[in-house]
Amino acid sequence: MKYTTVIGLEIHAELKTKSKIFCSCENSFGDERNTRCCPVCTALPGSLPSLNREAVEMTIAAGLALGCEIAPIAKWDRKNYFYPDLPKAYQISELYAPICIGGGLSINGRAIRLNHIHLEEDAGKLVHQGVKTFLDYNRAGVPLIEIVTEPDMRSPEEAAAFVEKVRRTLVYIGVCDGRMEQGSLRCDANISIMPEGSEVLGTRTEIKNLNSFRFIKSAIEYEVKRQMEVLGDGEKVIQETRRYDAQCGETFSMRSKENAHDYRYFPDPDIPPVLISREDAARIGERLPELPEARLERYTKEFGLSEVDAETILAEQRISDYYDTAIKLGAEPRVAANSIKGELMRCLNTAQSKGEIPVAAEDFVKVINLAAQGKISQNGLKKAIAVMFEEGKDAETVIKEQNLMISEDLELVASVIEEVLKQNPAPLAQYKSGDTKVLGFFMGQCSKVLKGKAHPKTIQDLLKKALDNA
Amino acid sequence: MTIKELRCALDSREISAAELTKGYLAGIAELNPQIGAYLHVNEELALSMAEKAQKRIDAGESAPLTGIPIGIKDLLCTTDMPTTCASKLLEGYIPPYDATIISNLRTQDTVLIGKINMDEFAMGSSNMNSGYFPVKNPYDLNRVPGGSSGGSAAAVAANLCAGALGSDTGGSIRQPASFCGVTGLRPTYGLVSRFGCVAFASSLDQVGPLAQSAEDCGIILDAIASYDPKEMTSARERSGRPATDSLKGLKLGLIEELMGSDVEAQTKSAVEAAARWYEAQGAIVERISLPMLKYGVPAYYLISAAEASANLSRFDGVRYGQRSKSYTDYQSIVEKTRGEGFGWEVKRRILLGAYALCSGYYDAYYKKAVQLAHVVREEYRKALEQFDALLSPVSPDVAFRFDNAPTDPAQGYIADICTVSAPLAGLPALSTPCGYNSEGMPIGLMITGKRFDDKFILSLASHYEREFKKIPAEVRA
Repeated sequence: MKYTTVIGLEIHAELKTKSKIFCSCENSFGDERNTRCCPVCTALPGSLPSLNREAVEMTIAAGLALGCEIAPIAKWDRKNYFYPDLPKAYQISELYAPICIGGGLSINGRAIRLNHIHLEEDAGKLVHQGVKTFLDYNRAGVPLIEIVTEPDMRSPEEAAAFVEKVRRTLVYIGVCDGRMEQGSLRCDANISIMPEGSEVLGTRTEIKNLNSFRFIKSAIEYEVKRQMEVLGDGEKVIQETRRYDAQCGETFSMRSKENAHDYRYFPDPDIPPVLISREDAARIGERLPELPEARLERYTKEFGLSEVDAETILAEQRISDYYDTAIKLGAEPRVAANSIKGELMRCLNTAQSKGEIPVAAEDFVKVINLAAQGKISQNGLKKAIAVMFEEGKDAETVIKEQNLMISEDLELVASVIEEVLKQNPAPLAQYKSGDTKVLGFFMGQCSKVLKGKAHPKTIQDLLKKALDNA
Repeated sequence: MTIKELRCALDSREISAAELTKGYLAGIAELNPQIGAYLHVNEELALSMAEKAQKRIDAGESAPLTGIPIGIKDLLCTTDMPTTCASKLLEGYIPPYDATIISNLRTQDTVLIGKINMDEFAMGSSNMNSGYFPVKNPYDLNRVPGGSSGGSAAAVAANLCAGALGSDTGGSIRQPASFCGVTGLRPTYGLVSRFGCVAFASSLDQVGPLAQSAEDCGIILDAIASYDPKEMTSARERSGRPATDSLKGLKLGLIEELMGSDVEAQTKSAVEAAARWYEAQGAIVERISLPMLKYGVPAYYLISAAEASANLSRFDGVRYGQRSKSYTDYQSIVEKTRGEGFGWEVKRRILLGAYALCSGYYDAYYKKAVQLAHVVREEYRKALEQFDALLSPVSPDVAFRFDNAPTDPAQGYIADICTVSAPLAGLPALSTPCGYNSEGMPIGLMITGKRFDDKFILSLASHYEREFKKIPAEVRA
């Protein structure tokens, strides 16, 4: 039997606010254990939460970027369960009145709807060392948004592409650093299969905590295959939570529906409802930077880039921003795009550079413009970019030091031409007899001697003149 | 002596802060073994605070509570004394931070004379639920002092502190104040910071003063009440009706439902007499019916237990407090620590609250209780549009004997009928002594006001207290 795969996702993204969601502890990754915590985020008796406005605003920004409605009133609830990384033994989350409602994105022309986005707190971490387990509460209370989709995705690739697109959007608007390897973006996948053409959803399983695009794809692939086998054997898929083991590429049952937690959600009496006015939401909307989708349209429609080139530049926000700056500084869009995805990205990849691009956009524009005007050669341009990247020098210094400027010494060119013609009487005769194909041969000979000191156009013009007058 | 009198004595150098503190410490040493009001007293620490206060007095810079010995209910976090909530689970726990109101008291150089006994985690109306030992009523050591701030009320009544802090979730300040013949105020919700007050039921908890007089309660209230940015339910806008000089023309409502047949006759007549006194001073006293008050007790117990079930989950033995000695894994740390550390009343309420929140029961219990609380709040709002304040008894009867304590917990809960509704409505309410029964046990009058009218209802009590002949408790060592 043929099956249709149905996938819904819950994407968890840590917000990069300055401080944690309910206290003033610094929100940072990778510090020494338990150095970023206080009575509030370790739930000492008597401590109370104080909601971080910046976290609410970032959630609104994420909602607006993903096409959600912003709720006029947001409320927080307590989700009760015991786990050593959860200090209060309840997580403050939003069940009944999340900040963002609806929304969605399109993946290759297919609409993937969001159900809602809510704002909650992250838990601490268990650190296993041999037989001992330590607790690190640095992450406890880091603001976390949960982006919940409808079951609209139909393949592992589509699910991965969706997560990628969400990640890129969150990174672009500056609310999440999107570092999946550090866990700042991770997702749970709900998966079911149904006979092709059916409209009744099958029983779903949920795979927890997938933290790379590769794992999302391979975990879903495995789970779909497993469910097909279960149904093929005439058995039923059990609704349960499963864990993906990346080592062996399989999923394992964690707990069934019967053993599911009753979280006993109820409104958190410590956090009064937050009113979000239309004006507040509009103000946050106005501050949003241009979204990747809008840039794509601009790059292809306005700048005439191919979709592939545009996507290459968009993939990283710093590169896309760099590109836009170059255009603003007067670079020709297609020329700039070629040099960026060519030499500049080669340098970035080789150096595995992740931070700011070391070549100032002004210098980059200077050299590509010189190349476009024929004042430095294409090889000279590559060299200039590479040297500026590696040595951090400005354009003028590099061009001078590397002697990249094509000298326009016309007398030198004329004397070289004269010499070349003199040494090649046979091709000259050929030319004279009307065989102009040998022009290329003479060009090659002259260029070889001039070694880039003259622009090909100059050589060609003078060469033609000399040939005609010979 | 009242705080007001002690202030004069200290500022005029009739007595030094150290002498005053020593006097109270001597009283504690003598009487605490019988009364059991204090869980923790550090004489050295108290005297060092007194010395610091004295410097400030000598510099002529004393604040209203400088050098005044105040007892602290043991659920308020203090960095220099244990904070146990009278629970075995928190035995020896010393918090790394001060509650906001403790910081407020320290800025005045108040002498924090000790930590006061209570019903475990503030759950109870008798103080028989202390994890350590019960507090006894200074008027009759065979009787309960009320609860959960029974230690605070008993300490004030037995003159073991000049004033005390208590907390009131469903009557925990007013009922013990009534049982022990002192004045106690439950402030408007949001007026006094809850940060550092170990939570029982977050939407209802409020810290407040117990003292010899309404005037003293006002002095303590002024010291502790402040907007606290660390608490989201702390009120920014907090102005209410000020104290009044005259009772003439004020409209007071005597709550019909709290003057019925289930209220003991002597209590009823003492409250009626107080109402007549107000009338004699020119106030207009009328009976008012609040029929929805009968839903107060079930609504209160469901909401408070539900919130408590979550609030007390953090006591898992992982990060602080006493961890069970016999655990094998995380699950057993949690189960055994809580099983061994919590008393029966605490367990009962956690179970009740968790049950009311379970899926399938949420709508029938928790949600309905919240709707009832809303109805009660509305009824109060309408009543307080007609009246300046409401009068009623604080408790249907005087303090009961230990050997006559209700055996059915639900019976005990019903006795909270007079006090649980003001918290549901977020209103300020106080208890002031208005009589003694034939056995000499104090009877309290409750005055309930509009939100932020705390100073106004305190002044109503003050007028009455000036006329009322108080009979002090006599405890012999």
